[in-house]
Amino acid sequence: MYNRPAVGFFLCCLILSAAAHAQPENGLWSFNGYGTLGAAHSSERRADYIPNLFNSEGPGRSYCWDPLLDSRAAVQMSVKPSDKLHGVVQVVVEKRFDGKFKPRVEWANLQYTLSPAFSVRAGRIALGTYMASDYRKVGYSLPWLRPPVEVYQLLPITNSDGVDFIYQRDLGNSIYSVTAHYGSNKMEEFVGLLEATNIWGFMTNLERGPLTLHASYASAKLTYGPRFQDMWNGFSAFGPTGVAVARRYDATGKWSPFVAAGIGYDPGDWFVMAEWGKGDVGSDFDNRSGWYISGGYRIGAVRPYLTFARAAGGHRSVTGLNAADFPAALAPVVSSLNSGLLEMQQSYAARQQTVSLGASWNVLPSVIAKLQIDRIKTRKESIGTFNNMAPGYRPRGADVVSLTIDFVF
Amino acid sequence: MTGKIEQTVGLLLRHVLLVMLLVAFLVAVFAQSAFAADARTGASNEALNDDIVVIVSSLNTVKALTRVRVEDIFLGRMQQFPNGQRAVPIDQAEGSAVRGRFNKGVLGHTSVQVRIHWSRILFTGRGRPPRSVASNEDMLQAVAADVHAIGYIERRFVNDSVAVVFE
Repeated sequence: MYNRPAVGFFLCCLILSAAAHAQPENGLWSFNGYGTLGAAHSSERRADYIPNLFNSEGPGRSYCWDPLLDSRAAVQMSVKPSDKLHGVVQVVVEKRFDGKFKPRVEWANLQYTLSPAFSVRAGRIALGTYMASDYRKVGYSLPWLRPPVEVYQLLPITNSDGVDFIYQRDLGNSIYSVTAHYGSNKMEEFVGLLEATNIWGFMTNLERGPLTLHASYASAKLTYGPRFQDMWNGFSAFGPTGVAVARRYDATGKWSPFVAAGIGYDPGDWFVMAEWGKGDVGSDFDNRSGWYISGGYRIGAVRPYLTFARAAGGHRSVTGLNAADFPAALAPVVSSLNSGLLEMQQSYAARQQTVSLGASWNVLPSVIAKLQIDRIKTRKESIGTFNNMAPGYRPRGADVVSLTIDFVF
Repeated sequence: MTGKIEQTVGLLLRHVLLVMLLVAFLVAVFAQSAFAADARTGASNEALNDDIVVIVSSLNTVKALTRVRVEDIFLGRMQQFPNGQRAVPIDQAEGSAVRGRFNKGVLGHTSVQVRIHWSRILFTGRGRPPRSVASNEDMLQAVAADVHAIGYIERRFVNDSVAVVFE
């Protein structure tokens, strides 16, 4: 039930992509898919490099060459019964947080076009928080091997179960659009189960030939899993001072605002792109932010690119309980609660910078191979996007080499 | 016991995936040489053909379009003509020289870049790439018959059933 379907699915997708040439959209139904086969290696063998909050392991301490960090496969069915109605379902198979490969519905929605300017969607819909966030899993569509973690990890939610309204306006030589959305999401990430019971926000986009401007705002009301709740209960058991600590850090039920802006210029043979994002969980963990700038130049079928990214925010320390205020017998409990809180603070904001040098190569019209080398440095006492450290070890950075083959059909 | 099996299968899966990646790269290298050879032939044909024009049905009231508008319609940014009427783009066959030259000459992108652009729209459920027809003759017929259609052909195929809106 665990691995065989996944291997089968990968193989099926590969065979289908090889067999099915580009299929023009002539009919009512269309069937498409995408996938990535990859392998990543990290020079740091005492910690895992985890550039994705939905993974629990990565290259480094757990694996010398990790083929499951970037590998995934997806199929999509869409139906267009009329010019006004469009339905789509996409199912993705990738390694999940629990190490299993249970397929997940990435989106499933119905879009109704009210007029050329207005359309509405309902169901599980893509959230376009960043310029590339709604296709961040489609390796073939991305200019990089994977999106810059310093920015894209700040808000890892890719979809929302709800509705959105899209307004599009033609300004003569440019096109302007605004999307407003409302919904909810549930996901499992490094810090446990995270439930966003309410997500609302809007995205705005301006396209003028090769120039794209993008800005978005989103706010979510978050509910954290049992691991967090146990911790707050633990603190609260220490009386008023403990309750105060829990109150200061517990973000449950508070609004977490997030804002992002980006600019891209892509005349065809080269591109530059820059994005910035900043978020907050409404507690004393402080805010976190990140930005990147990236550029590439096409030489025949090969396109080398260079990216610089940096993430900041969060505190270096936490204000937990003072062990001296309590009986000596409780000291171990206090110390474990405090270190748990520090760990949360550290994984909340990853201060680090990455310089990525990569190249993508159009092997075939529907196949792109990519090679990327990342030089990652953690900053200001942060563990960055590393985890699963060897006991007592603090990673300072790593060089990561990754290879992928992306395909679509 | 089950844990042990899962571990073994997990290990196997990792190796299978790594081997698949290696094989895929080898296949890719061979496939690429054939693809590159194809692309070169396509390029040499280019000089022999006359230029490409963008057409709509002669029933359509639209008489001219700017390059930006043609780009917007063919890249799925805009679903209507400037007069507000619905616009349905039609492509020539994937891999055809005409399509390659339209992509490069009018849209300003290589065919792969156009494909990447459409994969972004397709896999976020926002739309589908244009349908395609097999030849200039088929394009002429498809565009002439539909007041919403917009396509492109080599100039020598143009007749009274269609109007040239961009050249």
